[in-house]
Amino acid sequence: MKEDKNIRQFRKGVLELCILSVLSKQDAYVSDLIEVLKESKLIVVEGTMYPLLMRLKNDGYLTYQWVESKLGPPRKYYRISKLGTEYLVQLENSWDNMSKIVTEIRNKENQSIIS
Amino acid sequence: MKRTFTTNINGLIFNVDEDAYARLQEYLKSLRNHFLKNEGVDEIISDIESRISELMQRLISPQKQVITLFDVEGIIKQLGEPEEIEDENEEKTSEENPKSQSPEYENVGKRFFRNPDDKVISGVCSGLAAYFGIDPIILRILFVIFFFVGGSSFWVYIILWVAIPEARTSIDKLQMKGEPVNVNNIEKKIKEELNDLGSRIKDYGNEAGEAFTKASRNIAPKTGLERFFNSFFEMMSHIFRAFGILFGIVFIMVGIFMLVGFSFSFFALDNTFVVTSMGLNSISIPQFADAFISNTSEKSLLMTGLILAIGIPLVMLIYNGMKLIFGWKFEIRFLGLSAFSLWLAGAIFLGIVAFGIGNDFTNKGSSSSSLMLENTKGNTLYVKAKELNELNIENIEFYTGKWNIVSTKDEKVLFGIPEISIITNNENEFRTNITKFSKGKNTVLASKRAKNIQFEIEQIGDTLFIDPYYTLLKEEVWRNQNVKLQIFIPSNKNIFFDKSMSEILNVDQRNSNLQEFIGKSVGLDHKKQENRELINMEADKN
Repeated sequence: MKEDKNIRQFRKGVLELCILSVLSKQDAYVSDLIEVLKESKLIVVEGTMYPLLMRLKNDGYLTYQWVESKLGPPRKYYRISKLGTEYLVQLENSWDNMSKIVTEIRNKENQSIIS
Repeated sequence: MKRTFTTNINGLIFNVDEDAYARLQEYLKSLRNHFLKNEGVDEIISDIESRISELMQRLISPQKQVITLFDVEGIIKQLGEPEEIEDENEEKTSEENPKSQSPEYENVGKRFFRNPDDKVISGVCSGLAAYFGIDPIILRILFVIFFFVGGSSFWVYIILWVAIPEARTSIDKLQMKGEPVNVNNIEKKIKEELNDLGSRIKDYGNEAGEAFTKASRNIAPKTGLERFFNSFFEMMSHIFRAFGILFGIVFIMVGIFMLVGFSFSFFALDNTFVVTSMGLNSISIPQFADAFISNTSEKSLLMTGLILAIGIPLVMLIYNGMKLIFGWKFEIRFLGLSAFSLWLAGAIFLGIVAFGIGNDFTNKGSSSSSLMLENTKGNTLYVKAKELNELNIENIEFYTGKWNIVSTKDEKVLFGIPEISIITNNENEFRTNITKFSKGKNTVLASKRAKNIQFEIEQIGDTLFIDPYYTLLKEEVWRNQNVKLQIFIPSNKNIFFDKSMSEILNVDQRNSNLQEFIGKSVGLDHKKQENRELINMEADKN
């Protein structure tokens, strides 16, 4: 159970990074985000997206506007904010940093850890 | 055909099957509970709704217009059940409440509910069984056994039926079984119900139509015995229902009939409703009351008391009849209690009035006057009834013979027949004695009332004219007023009753032994035997 939770926490952090990353390249509807993330198997159920987007918006990393779609009512069209871009840089840096450390540690010889 | 709902989801109109709609509702409700701790729940939910509408829109095509349960299940799978969705507040909530994701429903415990999903009559046994965790068949058999042994379980059942609410929502149903109420269990419960519904519909087929599937909800056969009891109980419940409707109709008819009669006798101030010799048809209550009560405030107290004490039970009878017929399930709060209090108030009013009247009967008073009949030429005294033309009877309203209320052209007249007795004396002259009696709360009042009784006799030569009845003054009330006329005749003289006296002697039983004097000149000497008895009787009375 605890491991599971850690993995979830882990994935949540990565998910945040990915959403901001996608939006840094291009504004998008939620459905577009969902498609990208589902393809990469980062999310299992779509429901996860909504509270996360809500928090990112509340923290000021994202903004949205209502944009008319081809059919149906207007939908939220998300865009990364200036603050979000800064935050993304932080996230990316720490991700790079961490993945480097993780790779290093995993690739080290057993003896060198003991000594 | 399944029922479909037309619903607006995020600005788009969809036709959704009934079961699919219910599923969707429950899903959104469980999501809301799940996100309750999040900031901006409403916005999250509305985002999800807009996603749902987007997904539904993709499913709709010219060939497919209706969203089915299958579609909804697919959408929910895509969006995720609440427990699958990763919650922003997971750390916090799990620290605060490691056991449950929805703490607001915790520790609700078990409650008694009637089980509408497995019912024979009303789900009492099934609900009780769920509470105690036993098989409902055991309780059902017990109830049937005790129904035949003294019928005690019948009343117990009725009371439980009324007292225990039906489990309507999924939360109720979980509490009925004592399962912890949280989002997971609600979900589970709903899934169970839907599966159950699905299998039932499969079992009974579509051809039987909606009515049949509705009826089949009551049948969930498991064993041969239970099937037997199920069909037995179902039959019983139909009979029960039929009886209910029958009773309802009788209640309403009796209630309305009596209420109409009651209000007519209340408000009819003319002589539309009368008491005839055929019996009591209807009487004008206000006028009848006038005969007993002179005091206006006491009279209005009596009227109010009567309206409440008789009207309220009649209205409740009609109301309950309606309830039985239409199977109304709703309860008007405090209706029974307030009806009872009003009725009680009415009964108290009546009691006060009755006590007042009763009190006015406690003492007796009398007034008497004697008249010597002098200068009679012959040996015979002729007795004739006066012709009183003034009393032009239009309707006899209340009639016992001894006491009568009649209406004349413009007023009510209370009248009674005097009690006549013939007594021999040793004097030389005829003599009469009139004694008037009345009741009152004290002797003075009673005597005053007695004095006010209108009864006259008059001697003209050998003839004694007497009023055929006595009457009360208009403002007088009936307090058992009575008049006794004694005629004393010397032993060597005769008495002759004119034919005009026959009515007086016929009508009142007390005078019936004098009928033989009519049209004959009779000396009491000739009938010594009977006369002695007569005298003895008089002596006893006095």
